[in-house]
Amino acid sequence: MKIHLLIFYFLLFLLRWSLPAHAQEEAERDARILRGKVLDEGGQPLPGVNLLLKASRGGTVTDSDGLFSLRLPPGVRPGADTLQVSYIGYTTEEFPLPATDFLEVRLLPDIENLMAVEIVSTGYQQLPKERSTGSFVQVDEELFNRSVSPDILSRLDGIASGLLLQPQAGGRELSIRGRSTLFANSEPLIVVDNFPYDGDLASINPNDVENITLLKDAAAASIWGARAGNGVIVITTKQGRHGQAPQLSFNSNVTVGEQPDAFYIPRMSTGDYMATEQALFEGGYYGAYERAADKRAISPFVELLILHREGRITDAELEAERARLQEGDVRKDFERYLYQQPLHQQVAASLRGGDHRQRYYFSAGYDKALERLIGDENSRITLNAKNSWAFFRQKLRFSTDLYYIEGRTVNNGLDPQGLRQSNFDALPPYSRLADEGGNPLPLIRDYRLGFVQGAEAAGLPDWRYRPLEERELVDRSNRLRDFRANLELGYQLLPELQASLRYQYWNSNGLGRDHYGADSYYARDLVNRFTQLEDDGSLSRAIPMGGILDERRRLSQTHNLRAQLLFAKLWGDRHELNALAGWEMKGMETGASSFRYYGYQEEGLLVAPYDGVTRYPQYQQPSRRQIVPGGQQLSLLHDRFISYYANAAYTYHRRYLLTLSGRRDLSNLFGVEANQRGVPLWSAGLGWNLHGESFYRWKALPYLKLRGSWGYNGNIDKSVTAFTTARLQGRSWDTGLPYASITNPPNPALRWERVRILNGGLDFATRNHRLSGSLEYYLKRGEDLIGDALLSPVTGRSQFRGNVSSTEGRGVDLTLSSLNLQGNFRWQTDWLWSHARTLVTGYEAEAGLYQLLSFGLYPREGYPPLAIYSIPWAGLNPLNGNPQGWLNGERSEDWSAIINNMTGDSLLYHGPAQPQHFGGLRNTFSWKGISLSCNLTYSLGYYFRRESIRYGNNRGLGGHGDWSYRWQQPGDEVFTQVPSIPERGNSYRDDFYLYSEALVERGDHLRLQDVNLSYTLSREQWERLPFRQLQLYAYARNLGILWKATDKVPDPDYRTMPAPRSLALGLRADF
Amino acid sequence: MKKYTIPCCGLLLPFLILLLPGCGDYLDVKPDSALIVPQNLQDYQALLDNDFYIMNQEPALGFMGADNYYLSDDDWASLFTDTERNTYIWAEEIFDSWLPQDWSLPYEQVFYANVVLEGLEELTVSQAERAEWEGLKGSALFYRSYAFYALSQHFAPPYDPNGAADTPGIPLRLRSELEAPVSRASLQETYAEIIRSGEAAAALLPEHSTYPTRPDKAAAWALLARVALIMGAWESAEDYASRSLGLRDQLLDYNSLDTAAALPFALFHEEVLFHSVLLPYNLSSSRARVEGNLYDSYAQEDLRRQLFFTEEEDVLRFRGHYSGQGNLLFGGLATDEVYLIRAESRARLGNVAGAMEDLNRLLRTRWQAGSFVPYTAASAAEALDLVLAERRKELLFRGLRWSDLRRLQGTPHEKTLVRELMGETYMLPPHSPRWVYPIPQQEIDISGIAQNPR
Repeated sequence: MKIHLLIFYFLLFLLRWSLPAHAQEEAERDARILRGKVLDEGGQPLPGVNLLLKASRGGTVTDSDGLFSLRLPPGVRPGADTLQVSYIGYTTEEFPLPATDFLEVRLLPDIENLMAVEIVSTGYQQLPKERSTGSFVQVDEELFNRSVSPDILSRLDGIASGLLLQPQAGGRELSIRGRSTLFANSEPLIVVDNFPYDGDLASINPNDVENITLLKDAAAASIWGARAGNGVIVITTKQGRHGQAPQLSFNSNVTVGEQPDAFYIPRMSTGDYMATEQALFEGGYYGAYERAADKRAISPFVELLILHREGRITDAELEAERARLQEGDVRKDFERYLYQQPLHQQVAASLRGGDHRQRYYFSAGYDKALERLIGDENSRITLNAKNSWAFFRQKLRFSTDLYYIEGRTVNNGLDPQGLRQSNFDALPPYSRLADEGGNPLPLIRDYRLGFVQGAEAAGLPDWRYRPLEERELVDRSNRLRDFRANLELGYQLLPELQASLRYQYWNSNGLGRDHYGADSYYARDLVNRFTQLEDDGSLSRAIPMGGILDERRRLSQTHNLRAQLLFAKLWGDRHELNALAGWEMKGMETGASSFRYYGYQEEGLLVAPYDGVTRYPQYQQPSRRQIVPGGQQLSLLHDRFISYYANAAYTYHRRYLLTLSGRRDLSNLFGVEANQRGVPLWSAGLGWNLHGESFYRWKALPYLKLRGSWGYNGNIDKSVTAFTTARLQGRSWDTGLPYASITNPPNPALRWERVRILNGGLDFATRNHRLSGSLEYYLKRGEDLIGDALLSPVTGRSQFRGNVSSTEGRGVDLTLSSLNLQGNFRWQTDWLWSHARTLVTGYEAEAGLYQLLSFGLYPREGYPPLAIYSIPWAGLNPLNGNPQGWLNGERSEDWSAIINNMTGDSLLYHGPAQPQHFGGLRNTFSWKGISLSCNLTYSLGYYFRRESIRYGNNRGLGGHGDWSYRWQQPGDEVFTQVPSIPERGNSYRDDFYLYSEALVERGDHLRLQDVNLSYTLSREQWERLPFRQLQLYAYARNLGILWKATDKVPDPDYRTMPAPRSLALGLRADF
Repeated sequence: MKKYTIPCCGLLLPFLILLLPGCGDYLDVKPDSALIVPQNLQDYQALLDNDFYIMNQEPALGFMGADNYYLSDDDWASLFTDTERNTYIWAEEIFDSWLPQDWSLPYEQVFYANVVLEGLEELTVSQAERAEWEGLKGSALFYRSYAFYALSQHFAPPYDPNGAADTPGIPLRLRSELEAPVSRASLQETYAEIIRSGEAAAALLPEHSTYPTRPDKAAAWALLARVALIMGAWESAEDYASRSLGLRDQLLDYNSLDTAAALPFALFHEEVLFHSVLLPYNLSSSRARVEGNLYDSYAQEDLRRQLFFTEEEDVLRFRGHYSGQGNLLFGGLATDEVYLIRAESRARLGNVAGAMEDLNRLLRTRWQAGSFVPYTAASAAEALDLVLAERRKELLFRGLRWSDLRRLQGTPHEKTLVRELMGETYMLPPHSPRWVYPIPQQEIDISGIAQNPR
């Protein structure tokens, strides 16, 4: 309750500042208020402009829409005072006090000190960067549109200082200034139009984006409180402007990508594969397969070997078949039948404008893409309508923003990784997907050919798997409908005080539908497995014949409500106070359900009942009984927050800045005592505009600012709870009783994670902005981080998750922008360099050896949270090609002893797994309407473990291509580190090699990220042009690696799939 | 002043009202509706009913090291894990790099049991719920006792009353708190705790439970009888077995079973007192072979000869799983075992007639109707020989053989296990330290408890 009082007093305090003025005015009935707005030369509103009455010392500041209301002191008559309007980077204007009630001022850029004025948006307010003390990165529309992509995030790669998009298996890891959490969410908070965005960011149309601001330190991020520990990305979408003539814009582009390379990861060749199969066959490996009760699949070549053993084919027949199979390489079929060139088309149009009372922005976008797999495609429609009205001489403002997104994804593509012979074995490389005529061929899958033939003879329907046919018979799709409405009501209570109420409703409705047609292998296989051969030879089926339909529904809803007071006042030309305080609540509900229908027939929407309780014997293995898979599932999640916040910035003499912010978040973190649910977070900042000092005479450097901030952000991990919690898992197979698992052991001391950030910055610009930039240094300390402590298994848990860890990060962000040539031919260079280094400073339990080795997050005190370790390597044994390590100071082949005696300290630490230095170098050349921009990105100071052969217990069958570089005879150890094939499988030997020093490589590289070439025609040059402006552009991405430290892999960041090269062509027109 | 401030305050009012409502109820909603904080009898029952993944499974290492089966060279080489291969030949190193469930799962059961026991202590229940409360407490104690028993058979040395107080047993966890230090109790304390929890469970459990996955009184007495037999406490074993049989003595008449069925025994049939399966390794139906002379020890009229085995291409395999599933081995308690426990105890106590009565009662249901000629024994020793021979034939592939071989060490019935593999002969003689499995390295690394000598 304390916090309520605090906020209340804060409000009273704000009110009190306004009250003395009222008292004075009581006598002066004719006191009046001057309202107006300040715009730049292009009609853009300028927020944070200072307005000052020079004689009577009254003043105010414009708000985020460039609007102001200035209370005129009693007795001041029009013309009797001078109004000074000043703004950094613009020439200061002075007017005699006008007689009107509304004044529109246009400021012109200061030619002498051409300064790009950056307005940063924190999502709660907009303020000029000059008046901030925090760490912001601004990406404007032009820079953002330099790259062409269907989504927002990939456009930020290499252009936003401190932001790293690191490719990871299965996606990309996004981080701002390194990682400051261990197991909680490590992604930055994404804010779209003032509210945290709960949907998939990829669904927002980038053509609607006006600008993006990154908030990197405590000063700004504590505004966002408990979810801002990883930084905040604030996305502001486009809006119309008051007084703007209707403007129609159109953008269209086509992006063509490169077809995937099926040979990118080296694999064992077909000949080697068959030789290995034969060696295994001769060693008796397939005996267990032949006898397996589950009739598991045996590859075609091994079947031939069996036939040959049984004398059913001759030597010559075997050799002929061998020669035929040896020719094949299924990867050629992958390239021919499964992969295609990705193609992406984008069309977007918008209309915007406004008069003095209303403004609007309407847009529509359509995206369509064919993905890298034939049969995978998606499309997206986005609609956006924004309207804003001002009433009562701009005192009351009301706006409505409506967004609608409809996306559809079709996933019918066959991923080669999913094509397996069975759960146990990969697809043999001599498999063929189609014959010469392109007709689908069956593959051996799940069961032995003989068994399948026998089943068909017994009257079961076709049990063959033909992948290319399957693609036509299965239809998997997802549809997403996403609706968002923002309402805002603002009222100017007093000239200094503005109140606003914002509400956002978000609704996202997803429907996933997998339809397996009656003839699909998936449906036939399931029906066949649950078929019973009765004593009289008849067949009875537990699963009705027909198609199978899986439906997944997901409905998310969010209500956000925010009430905020904004205060701005200028006293004389010395004191300026901007403050805001507010309250907000958020409630998100996500419900999901899935259901399966058997016997589904699209025609007539027929479904058939089935028995989901009885355990039926499986046709291929009658001793195994299973219930018919049902797949019904329900889930319901709630995410709730209540927050209070306040934020104030005081400026003295426009030179000294002091900022303070505080926030308290309360959430429904489960099982936590109420007093631990919330966490107070705050920040303080100081800034000094040195160039404003009277002693500052350095003409060459007309802009110089020092700033610093300090404070706390938070982070939350809702997966841990304070009480012993259990999850109801459904019903037991055997008893049908509901059963539960303990998901969390009790943790009464659970609290939120906190990140303490100290940030120091220096901003500068030389005359005419020839060279400008900023240098920032930061310290980031994660406290009370949720981490794992390894537990003795005797406790019943092998690990415990709690607030056991801490991290310390430090780093530097440098941005330099240089205007090398000006005039007709313009050349600008932008350089970003970020250094980020995080170390785990507190971690209760040392991670186990295997955890440290296997790539993943296994923190260890004094080392980065993501790090690469290895086992020291002593080369191959020249006699037998065994890998050797060190045991008690001597060479050893006792791999289990080496591994079991290894401790964290005796492991080799190579370095972090994430780049310590990264950034981009962007050169932009322009001449007349032609502009060429090219961005080089670099990542330095990190390591990775490359892939190699694991022999397993099948001599490395189908494994990594290093197989062919293995040790085969004495002397080979000179040029290879790949061990020989072991006599028999030994997982310690494999692990020792795969986790050894021999496979660790430096990841450092320099990449030609992208090139943009554009040609712009504008009406200023060509008067008869039907457009105001027309731009043609070409954009190429992922052009290649220019330099890398390792010669072992083609690309350290893309090891399973090459970074897809793409070329886009497009056209943008403004009418 | 009034003129200005009142409308201002009036406009502010909605904001103030918004600021004031408490956050209490709004934030009390669960983040995930499938989550529960276990706090009532139903929740605790749901935890103990986690049969398939947690509560009704037990270690399989003993089975893998015992002589119910053998492997061909090829089948051994094609086993999936080093743990399986090492266990088969009683190697010095047993485990591969994964934490074996044979160690961790019983302790997870103990954790569940302790969470339930502590939760029940804090619960005040109405008179009507009293029986349910007691049943749950009894269940939790039973599971804990069973888990300790299973661990003791693998990771602690065979029981010997002389020196049991000084021999390390297993760590005993009697509270759920994770922070408590871990240490190995003595062998004596280990068995004392198994008996203590088991007896407490027997006192509280209901006479009969609807589901064999939930223990009842008969199951608890059967467990105690099994443990007493292992300890060599024959009087107790006979007493416990009698109590169990007093509640449940049904035997399945094998004449009623279908010898043609792939799996002759149904899940949860009438002999099953407590259903539990061995942890799934890959030794079951497709690889494990049965020795011909074991098969030959069954008489032609003995129905088990057909019901327990199949013969394909001269290879004998076991199919008489009381689990009702071909790929899962039964490890729980059944009345046939209880009869054999009482028969053995009686034989050892010199009650030849009593022993033969139990044995014959069991075997009558195992032979073709009318063909069985009851056994007779002239002496206690002869009776014991008969009972042990029949025990060997009745309780195979049930996870009991390893314990039997351990407890018979130093008696005339002791046996040296021999495996032939890849031209080599491996042996496990009585009293070898390898009758005790090593404690997984992960455990030693974290808690620092003493390792078993190998």
